[in-house]
Amino acid sequence: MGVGWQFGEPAPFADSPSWLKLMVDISSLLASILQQEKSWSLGELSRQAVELCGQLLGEGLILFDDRGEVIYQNEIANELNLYRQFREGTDINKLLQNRKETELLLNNSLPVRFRPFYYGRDYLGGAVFTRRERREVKTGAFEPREQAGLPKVICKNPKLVKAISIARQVALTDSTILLRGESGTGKEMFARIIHENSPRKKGPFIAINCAAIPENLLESELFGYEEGSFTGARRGGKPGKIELAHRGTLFLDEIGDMPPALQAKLLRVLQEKKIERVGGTRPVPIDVRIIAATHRNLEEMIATGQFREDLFYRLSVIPIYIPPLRERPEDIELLLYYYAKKYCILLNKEFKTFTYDALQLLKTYPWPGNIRELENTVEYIVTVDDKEEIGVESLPLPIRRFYPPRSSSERKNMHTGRVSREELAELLERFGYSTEGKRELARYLGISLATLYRWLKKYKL
Amino acid sequence: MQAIDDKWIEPLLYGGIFLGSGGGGKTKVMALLLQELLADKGAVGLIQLEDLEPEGVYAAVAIMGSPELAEENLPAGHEGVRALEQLKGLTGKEFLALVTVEGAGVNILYPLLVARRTGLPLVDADAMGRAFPELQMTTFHFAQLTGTPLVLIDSRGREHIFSEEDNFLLELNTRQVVGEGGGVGFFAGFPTTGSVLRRILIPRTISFAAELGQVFINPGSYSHLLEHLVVITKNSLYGSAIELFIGFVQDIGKIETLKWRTITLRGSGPYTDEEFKILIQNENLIAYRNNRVAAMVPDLISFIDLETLKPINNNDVSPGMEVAVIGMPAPAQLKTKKALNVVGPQCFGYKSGYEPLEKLYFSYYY
Repeated sequence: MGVGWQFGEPAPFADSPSWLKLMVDISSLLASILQQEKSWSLGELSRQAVELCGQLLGEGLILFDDRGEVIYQNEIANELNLYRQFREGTDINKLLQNRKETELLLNNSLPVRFRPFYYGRDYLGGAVFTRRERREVKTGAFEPREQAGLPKVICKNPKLVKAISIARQVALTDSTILLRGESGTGKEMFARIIHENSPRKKGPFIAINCAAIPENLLESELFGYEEGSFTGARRGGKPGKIELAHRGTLFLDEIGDMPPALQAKLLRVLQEKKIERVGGTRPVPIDVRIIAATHRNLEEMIATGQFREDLFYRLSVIPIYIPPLRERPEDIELLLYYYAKKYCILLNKEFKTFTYDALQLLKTYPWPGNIRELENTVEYIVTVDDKEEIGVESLPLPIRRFYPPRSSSERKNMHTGRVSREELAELLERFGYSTEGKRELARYLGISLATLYRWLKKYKL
Repeated sequence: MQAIDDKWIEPLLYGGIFLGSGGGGKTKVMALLLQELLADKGAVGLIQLEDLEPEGVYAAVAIMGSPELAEENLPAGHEGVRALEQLKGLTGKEFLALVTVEGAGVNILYPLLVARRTGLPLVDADAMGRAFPELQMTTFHFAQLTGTPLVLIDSRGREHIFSEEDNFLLELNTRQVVGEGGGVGFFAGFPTTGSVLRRILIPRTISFAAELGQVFINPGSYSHLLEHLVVITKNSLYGSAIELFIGFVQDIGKIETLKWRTITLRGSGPYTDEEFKILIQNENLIAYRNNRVAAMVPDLISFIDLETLKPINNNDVSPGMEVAVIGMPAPAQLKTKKALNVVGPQCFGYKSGYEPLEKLYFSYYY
């Protein structure tokens, strides 16, 4: 629409006060737009700089705003499941409310630091970042020839051997696979075996943990977004993980934690083999093999309406069950030594062995966190213990305090005080001599602390 | 309890040669004798460390000296039985089962022969995890336990009793007696209780040797053999086998002044134009690929003859032969600082420190 006046021509009513006022208003509007544009550019510059630093950091990093909402996390944080570990391993609300710099150890093995940001006395938000030990160790004098036989997959357990054999067979097809097993059983390793043995092995393998990414970021992470689709969206848009996995494999870990709205969107992707970015209008064709994994009971979730039945059947074309570590006792010693050697090399320590008693205890411990817990435990021991032989006393407290379930007659003996001096001394060794240890021991024996002290006095312990 | 029958012997023979890391001797004739004996008289029990009586006493039997001489003058197992009887008299203990000191080469079979003669079971473990040339190179020594009292029968049938408290001295004195007594000796020693053996022996090495050897029976192709080898070894206390080189034997040499023998290979297939050299003192101790360390003792360096697809000792390697060189990490028990002081490369005169296979080929292992 024209205004009826061209630049360079004498302005109509140029000398009138209303024209002057109009000019002043337009000038201030322009100045304000320019100011906003500058501030937007600065904001965008900071955002992109943060992203770049996050990529270069080599440590996991999560940024929170002043309300405790995640506003950024880098790839390493994603790989380490840092958000979930942080959420599960700390009282997150208390920490964010305290707004003080804090050091933490997640899962007994991952050191992290929380640092708050302030402007004057105003709290702006905070960062959580890992502080893993620098592992600068010269390794790998030679690149060996590619060899079959999966040297990194340790298993003698027949159930798992069978699952691996199925995985290698179905790798050759393009069917969707659902890996089921508890957390830490190595579902991602399985997905990688399938990818590396499939015709798509030259394509990308993209993994995303649906539980590790905050719900408000998951959609854009998966589907990508177009420019300007939301505040802070990157210029030129960003491809999502599904698009990045084109001609390769997409591994959707913890699919049971995917919100219902995204379940519907994912179902459409599986049916139509096309995706639409957030804020986009044009569907993009994709060629992706999907491997999903979960530790949750999807059948129960379907019954309670938390998981879509149609999506379940689309995903579960080939279900593979991965047994938990407690069902693989024959593998525990092998895995302990495998990881002990690994961390001794990475941490530049002398090689270590386990004592017979430590091994017996480690073999009976139920490993609720499965391989991940075992690997973390070994890393912890190698890091903190300088002894050449790892004995019971070197094991983390939860393992030391674990005792295999007892028969009812044994429990009865304990209640009636028929615990031998040797047995009590051994238990004390495991639970520790501190008051807290004794309190735990009393709870374990099903007696009061006072009774325990009486027994200790009786046995002169 | 598992039982070792005649079907175990061929796999044990091949597994024993592979675990010999080029040395340890081979004894096809003893394997045949054992096969016959087990088929005729029945199997030998194989006990796990967990099943040992904590207070029960167990003893080791082994051959010392030249395995070639043992091949020429085949031992029947009666020598070991005699030594064991003497040891029983000396200690006043009944032995509940026999222990293998060196779970490789000829010494993986000999305790089995004695076990069959005595009717005693064998413990599924050993004190070296591979072949080593000297008596102190055992997990007994790492744990500061002596091999005495030890009874040795030389090849002339004479008995010698040793009571040294120092294993180095024991090695020197027994070696002298064996040298003077015909080059081969048979001993019974290392009387130890079950609770101690549980702590110090490397577990399940006998059954592992049989599993490993099974790979070499009807191996199909080399790539098939290698894949099986990786599957078996990665699921053991050793660690995954790795192909270090493939090539033709170009030269077999000797460095007189330094006690070393050498085998030089010229690469074939994916290793064309490359050179591989192995330094030997009885066993294959250090390997170089294009003058860079590719593997070193206590990790295992073994040969596979690519024509027969069977493991071979370094004595059986001849010029023109095409071989694959396979590395395998030693169990952690042999890689601790304490162990490396006795079996590490410096114990054989190599000046630099030990570089484990898992570090040299880190991306392959982790």
